[in-house]
Amino acid sequence: MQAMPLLPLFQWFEATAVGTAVSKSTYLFPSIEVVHLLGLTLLLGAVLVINMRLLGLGMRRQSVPQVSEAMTPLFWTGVGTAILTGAVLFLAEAVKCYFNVAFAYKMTLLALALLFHITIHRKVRMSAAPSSAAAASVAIISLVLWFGVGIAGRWIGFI
Amino acid sequence: MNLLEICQAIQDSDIGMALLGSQYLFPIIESAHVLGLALSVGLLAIADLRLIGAFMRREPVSEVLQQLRPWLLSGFALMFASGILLFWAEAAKVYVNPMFRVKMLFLLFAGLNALIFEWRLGGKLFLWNDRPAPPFGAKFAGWTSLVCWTVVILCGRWVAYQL
Repeated sequence: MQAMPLLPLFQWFEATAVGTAVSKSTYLFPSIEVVHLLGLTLLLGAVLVINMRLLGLGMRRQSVPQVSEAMTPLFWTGVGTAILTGAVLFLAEAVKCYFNVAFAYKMTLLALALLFHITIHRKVRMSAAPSSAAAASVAIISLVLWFGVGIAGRWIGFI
Repeated sequence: MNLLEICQAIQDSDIGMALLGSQYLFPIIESAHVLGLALSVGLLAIADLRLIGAFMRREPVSEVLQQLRPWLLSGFALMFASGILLFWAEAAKVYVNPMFRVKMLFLLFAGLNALIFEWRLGGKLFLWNDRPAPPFGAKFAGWTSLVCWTVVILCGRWVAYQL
């Protein structure tokens, strides 16, 4: 049973000027996808460093808030790049995404990962002395969510 | 036997055929190869940004490099291991792919750049360790690394479009 008639909306996305321009061109889609990958590399790299620090596995000479502060611009540059290019890639194949279960997982995980990052994760990484249990658990949840986004994203292409 | 024939033999080997034919193994290895980017190039990019003086300028260079080194080296180990398996499955196909050749060339450049940096500047790190902006040679190495790895990622993604 379909709760909402979303398919027409996705068809409309694909019919937008940007959507058709990208899907018609031979080189635009792969070029944008490369930038998407570069954004992902930066984003996941920053996520790894923050969480490694929270787990006490690296950058231990700096405090958690110091590492977190240093990673913030890299993280948001990565997120911005990935979301912007991702939106364009989505417009080019919105209908395929509609029927692709990996895409649905990816969007759900992305929403959860972002929400977690700006709420609970933020609270722990900004506190001067978080308990090691709290630090370790938010780090693991964050890693699972963000790498989950990456895995689901790669899986869109396998379905 | 020329290189192409060797690649064909690799691709046709039992392991090569098994890798390519498996429903889950190939996608899993490919996903590991893509997400390994975070651990390898992602962490290296952070180290490079410190080298060019764009990032964590108050921290000594050695501090940032040494703390990231074990992690990014394991990231590169993962990338090489998964990359070799992917090559095994499609050796002859990628051998004739121009983008694959450019990728290998820039991998070589990136490796040489890292070695030259270690030889020429690694030992003298203490001379400029605490400076927010490292000397020209170190900045040059940082930029070269960022450019080389960007090209490697670009070509790597493009290899698959040409198969």
